[in-house]
Amino acid sequence: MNLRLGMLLDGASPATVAAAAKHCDVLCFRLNRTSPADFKLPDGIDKPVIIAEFGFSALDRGMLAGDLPDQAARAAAYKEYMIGALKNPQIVGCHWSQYRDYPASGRARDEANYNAGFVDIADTPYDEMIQAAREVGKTMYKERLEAK
Amino acid sequence: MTCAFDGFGSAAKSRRVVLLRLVYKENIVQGHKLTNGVLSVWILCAGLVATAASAQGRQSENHELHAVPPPGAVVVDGKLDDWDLSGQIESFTEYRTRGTYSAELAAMYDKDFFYLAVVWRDPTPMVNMIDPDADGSGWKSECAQLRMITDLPVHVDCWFSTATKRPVIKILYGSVNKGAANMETFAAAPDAIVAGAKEAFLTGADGKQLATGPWLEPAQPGSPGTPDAHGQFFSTSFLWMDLNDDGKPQVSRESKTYLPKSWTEPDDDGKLQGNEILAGSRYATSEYWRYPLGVPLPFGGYWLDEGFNLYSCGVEAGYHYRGGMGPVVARIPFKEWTPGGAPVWDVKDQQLLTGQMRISSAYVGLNGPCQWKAFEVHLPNGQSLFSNGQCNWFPGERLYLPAEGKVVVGPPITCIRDDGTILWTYKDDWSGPLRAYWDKTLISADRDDLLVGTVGCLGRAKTKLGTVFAIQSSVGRVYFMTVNGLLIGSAFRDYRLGEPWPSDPQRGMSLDGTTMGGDWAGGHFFKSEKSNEFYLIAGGTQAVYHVIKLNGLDSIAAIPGGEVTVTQKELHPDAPAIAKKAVAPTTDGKLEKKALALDLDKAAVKDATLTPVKDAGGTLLKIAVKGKQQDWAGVEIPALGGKWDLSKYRFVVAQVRTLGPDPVKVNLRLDNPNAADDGKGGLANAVADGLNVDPRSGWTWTKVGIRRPADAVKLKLFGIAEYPWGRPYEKARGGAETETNDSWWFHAYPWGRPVDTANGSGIDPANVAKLVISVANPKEDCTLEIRSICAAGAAPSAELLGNPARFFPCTDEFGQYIHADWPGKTQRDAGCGEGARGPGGLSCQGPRYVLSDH
Repeated sequence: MNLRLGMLLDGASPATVAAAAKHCDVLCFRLNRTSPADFKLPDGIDKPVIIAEFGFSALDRGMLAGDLPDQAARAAAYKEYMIGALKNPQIVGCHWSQYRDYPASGRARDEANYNAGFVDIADTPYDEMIQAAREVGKTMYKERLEAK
Repeated sequence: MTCAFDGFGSAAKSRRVVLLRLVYKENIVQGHKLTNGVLSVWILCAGLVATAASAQGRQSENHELHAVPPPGAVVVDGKLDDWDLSGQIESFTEYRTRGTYSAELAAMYDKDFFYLAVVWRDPTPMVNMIDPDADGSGWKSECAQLRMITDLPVHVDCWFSTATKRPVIKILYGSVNKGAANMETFAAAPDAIVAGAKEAFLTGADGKQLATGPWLEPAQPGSPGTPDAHGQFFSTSFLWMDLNDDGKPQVSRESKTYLPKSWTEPDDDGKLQGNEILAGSRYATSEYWRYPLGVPLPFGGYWLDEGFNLYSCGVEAGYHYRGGMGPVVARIPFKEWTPGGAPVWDVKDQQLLTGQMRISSAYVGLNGPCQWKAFEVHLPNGQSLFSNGQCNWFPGERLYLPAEGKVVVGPPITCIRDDGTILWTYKDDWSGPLRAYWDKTLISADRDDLLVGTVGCLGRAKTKLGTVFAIQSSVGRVYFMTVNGLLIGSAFRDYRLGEPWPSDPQRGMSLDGTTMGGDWAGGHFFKSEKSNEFYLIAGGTQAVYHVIKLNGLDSIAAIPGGEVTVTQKELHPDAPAIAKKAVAPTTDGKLEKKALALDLDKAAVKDATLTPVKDAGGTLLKIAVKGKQQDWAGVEIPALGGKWDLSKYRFVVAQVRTLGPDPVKVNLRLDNPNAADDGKGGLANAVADGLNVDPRSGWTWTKVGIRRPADAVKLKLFGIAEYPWGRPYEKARGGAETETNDSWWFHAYPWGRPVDTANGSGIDPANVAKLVISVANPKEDCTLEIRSICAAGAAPSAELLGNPARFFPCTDEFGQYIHADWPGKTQRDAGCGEGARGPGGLSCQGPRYVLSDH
């Protein structure tokens, strides 16, 4: 028996989600928001959800593209997002988008140069992110079990 | 290797049939819908001339074709006595042969038909052996062809079938862009399949040949459709391809009317009208069709020999002649140099060598349809010339290396031994033959280590490294590689980056940073056995080509594999300074975010209230928007002390949320003291950005880029070749350019993300007077909360922004942004002392970060 993970849905219409739900065991989404705690599937659909990609970028470590002022804010955003996912019973998984930063000079093709990684372009981890990940890890089962 | 310009040639250009055949889009060009009244149908031509061309030798260059109402009933019989020829224009390929090879074109319209008449001058009878019942490709021989962007017909070929002795109209329907499978062709000869299409062909007693044809609107569903204002197109081509005295095909002549604009557009009543000219041409490329030398330089190849005699090889034309008879080569003897260094060829003494020479071709079969690209020409005097034909815009590239028993094909560039063994490959980012024109976003950025868009070999030459061959690319670069697969250099910049080739090139000028355009129609790379100099015939897209001497090719030496030790003596004199620069950040060191000090006492509100609220994180601003009448509502908060100096920063960021009920777009704007409307719908001396904030999202970070004015940025740094929406690349490159969509863009510049001028063209970051927080066009009451307003992100100094030599390189050897410092930034010497392999200390293995909290 196969477990079917759906393709990444990004801004999909309810009809698209419904169509995917017919064939997929798990629905996968990109959810760019501060927290997925309130994320809901369209009415009548009850499937596990994996957040296939999320991430936050900051401006303080030499990367040219980002939205947050510094790594502290980035770590806080990460924690808020993860805890939100843990509190949402529909969500069974949550994937940080990328292990390493984009090149500062831009990724080939779309030239993305975001501070997207848990490590920078020279392989140095972002301490704030590591600490945040550990804090989430320490409490994740508690958060999940206490979620309503 | 360096390249120096060493003289230049006269304007010249070869033709490209394939390009034209691929530009069709929907929309209909049809005369029957034209409205009544005096009509002047303006067909803008870019390659057709009514008047004599200049003495430089040019194709005709008409810019208008007037379609006029017929005087009365028109009989399609080849006679023009019932025509109004007042709008007639003349088309010819070369003024020197105007008397023998030219055509006069006239157009009329009435409520049912669009009429075209062609008076065809040709000293020999039209000969076209293409059998319309077996092959609709009449354009392979003498033919008149109409090409148009319509929702129905896209090609109309007219010829007199020599074999079947009947006039032929061949109409091609469908979108070429969708591929051949979606095309539907009908040969309408002599009875038009499409009702009303009709052609007559008449050979005149004075040697003129008359062909006239009215074309009805084809009765197809959906006609006429809704014309699109973009890319409308109509053209005519006249093809002369006579036989030589020996029965062999002569060089071809082709005259084109290239009509970048069309005349169909719905009137107020929804019908098409004829008195408007639509803008939006993408193909005003008249230079494609000029043969200024008086000889064709057809798509396929041209090269020089030792004496700078010019050889023109019509690969494609030769292939198509009379159903395909192989390459045709002409020799045009060198005459003299102009004082400015331009070679002059004696056009009158040109020789056709096709019947005198032996051509050995290399046939390398790939998946593409062209099989005959590289060929060797053996002249009667024993001289051997080599030409690498172009790829006809199909994937594939061939370089035949008979001496080495190898063939180089691609992409990816691959060398194959004649026993079929693959010897080596080199990465070639091949985005497809047409992407250089239409989809530049899919072409890789310019890189010195990557072949991009290779479309043909330009020749080979012996160097101390062995045989080196030149590869032309669709992005304007020429790459030089050894037959062993070593990329040893390139000439010209990527045409998306380079400075245009000057109109008055100077002998000895450098090629560095220049481009001759993205796609040449030929070229040749060779070595003079007399002078041992290397030459490149270059150009094509600018109606000129040039003779360029390549310096230094023979100074390149192969270094044996293994460890290389470089001593101080061997370093470039500037190497220490460069290395120092690469290590030392040029900002003021670590940059922390900076909270903006707000003068809330002087804040002004517009259809809103402002309430500062203390919370755990500091002061939170609660903005209640009440009004619905103004174009925006919100607050203007001055800088405490009169101004903020944000010179070191790229963004002002803030956390914002709305309490609902609906999502709302929250805008941040920074003003200089002299901020004002620019009178063009934009802002001057101000910058702004907005973010849609959903009440369900809670606190969300938003930002506004502290964009520098365009004239403050002298850097040319960009990320992608062209916008998916077709914005001209040149306008986008460099500095603080403007753009509205960052999804396919270099997502942020060191000096702030470029945005639309409607959001401000830039500010002086040292004198920011005010922050505006607003909601545009408020429709409902809403409440915003905003906090943590601060400047963040290190920006280069004004000196760096204005000095490319100082700014670049902008990344260090680790790939980190060089003009800033931050905690954790990897330094050259930090932690790399032990185990380092070389004096640079660059051999750190793996992450040096040590987790301390297990």
